[in-house]
Amino acid sequence: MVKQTLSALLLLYCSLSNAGDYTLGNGYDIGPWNLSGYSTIELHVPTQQQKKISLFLDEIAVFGQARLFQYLNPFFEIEYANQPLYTEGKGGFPKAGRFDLERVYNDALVTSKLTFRLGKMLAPVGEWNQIHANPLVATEIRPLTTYLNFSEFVTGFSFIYSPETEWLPDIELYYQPWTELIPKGIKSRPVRYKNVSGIHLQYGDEFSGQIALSIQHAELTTRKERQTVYTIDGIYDFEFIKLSSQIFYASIYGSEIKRRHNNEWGGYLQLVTPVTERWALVGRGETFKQRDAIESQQNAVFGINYRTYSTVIWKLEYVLHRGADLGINEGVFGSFGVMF
Amino acid sequence: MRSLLLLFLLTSIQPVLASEKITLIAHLSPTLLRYPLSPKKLKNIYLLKQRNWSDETPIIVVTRSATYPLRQKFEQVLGLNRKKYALYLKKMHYKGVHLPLIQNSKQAVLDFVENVPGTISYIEGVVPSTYQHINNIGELQ
Repeated sequence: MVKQTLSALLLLYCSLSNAGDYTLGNGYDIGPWNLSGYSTIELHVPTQQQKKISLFLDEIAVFGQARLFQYLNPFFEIEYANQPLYTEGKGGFPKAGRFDLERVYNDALVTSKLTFRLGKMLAPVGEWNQIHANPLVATEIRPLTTYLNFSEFVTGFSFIYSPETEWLPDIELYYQPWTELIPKGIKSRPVRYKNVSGIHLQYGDEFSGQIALSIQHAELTTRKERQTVYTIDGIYDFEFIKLSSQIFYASIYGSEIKRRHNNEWGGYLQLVTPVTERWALVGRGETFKQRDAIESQQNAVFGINYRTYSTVIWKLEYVLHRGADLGINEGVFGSFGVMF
Repeated sequence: MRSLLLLFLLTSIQPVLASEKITLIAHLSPTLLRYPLSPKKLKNIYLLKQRNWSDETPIIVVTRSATYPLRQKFEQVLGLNRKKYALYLKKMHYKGVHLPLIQNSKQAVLDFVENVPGTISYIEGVVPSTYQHINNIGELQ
C-alpha cells in the first residue's frame, strides 16, 4: 500500500512535469488525468428504395482516466452522437444529435490481480462491444451479434481478476441490480434491461490468439421476458489474414406475445487481409435468427480500409442483406474516423 | 589508400553497431533484481498484461515515440508488429488501461526511471554511472 501510494505520487509528479506533450491518438496528459477521444463521420448511400442518402457525425467522444491512488482510479466517457450533417430531401442539419453517457466508473485495485469496478461500464460480452469505437474496429457497419439483444452496458459493480499466468483465464464477474444509468435513446436501443449478471472468461491476446466465453443473464424491462445469452468470440492472426468471430445462443423465458421463438442465435466470421502497410481488405458474413422474426437474417460486408498507425482510418464498404429487417441496410457506406 | 578507406568505414559503422544494442533498464528493489526477466514476461509487460512486479509494486512502462528507430527495433525484437502493436495499444487504452508513457529523449528516459520506482524502459548504449537507482536488467540484440 505504501509502495503503491509512493509510486503514484512520484508518477503524478513526473506526469505533471511532462504535461503538454501530445501524440495524436495517445490523448493529452493533465496531471494524473489522460483525456482522449475519437470522432467519426459517416456517409450512407443505401441502395434500397425509401432509404435516404445521409452524411452525419456518428459520434464525437471524449474519455478520461486518472491514476490517483490504489482505490481511486476514475474513468469516464461521454459522447455527442447521431448529428445529421446532410440528409437527402431534408437538407443540412435537419435535427440535433444527442449526448450519451457511455461509461463512468472507478477502479479500486484490491490486490495487484483483483480490481473492483463500480459504476457504468461496458458489458464484457464479446471483444467488439468492449472496443466498439470506430477507429478500433475493421468495419463501419457493426455486426448484429455484437450489440443486438443483450445488455451492452452494466451499471453496478464487477470484479476483474487478471492472474497473469498462462493457464488461468482473465475472469470478470459483474452485476447490475437495477436499470441502466442514463441509457441511450429508446429509438436506437428499444430494449432495456435490469438485474443483469454475468461472467466473462478470456484466454490469450491478439498476438498469440484470443478466445473468450461470456454468459449474461438479464430481465427485460421493455418486454415480459428474461434471457440468458451464451457467447464465444475469438481472434487469430495468421499475419496474411486475421480471423475474428463471435457466435451466441440465447435462451428466452417469459410471456411476451411478440416472441415467435424461445431461443435466438447468430454469429459472424470476419477476415481482414493486409494488402500493404496501410491498406486492408475486409470481408464478413453474418447470420442472425431473431426471436420475433419469421425468418433469419444474413448479411455480408465487403470493404477496404486505409489506416495510418491506428489513429486515422478511412473505410469504404458494401453491405448486402437477405431475410428479416433487423436494422442493417443494403448499400455503400463510408466513414472517416480519428482517435485523438 | 585501401587501409584508410577501411579505417574510415569501420569508424563510421561503429556508432550504428553500438546503437543496435538495446539496454533494458528499471528502477527496482534489490529483492526483485534477484529474478531475471524472461523475454515472455518482458513482452507481457509491454502488452500491458502484466501490470505489477512480484512485490505488488505497479509497473510503470516507459517507451519512446512511435517513429523513433530504437522503439521500432525494440518492438521488432519482442516480436510485435509495429502497426498491430500500435492498434493493440489503442484498444487497451480504450478499455481503460494506461498506455506506456512516452519520453522523447534518452536523457528524459533516464531521469524518469531514476525518479520513479517500478519503472521499466530501454535505452541505446549504457547507463551513465551518475544514476544511482537505475538497474541494467538485460540487453537485447
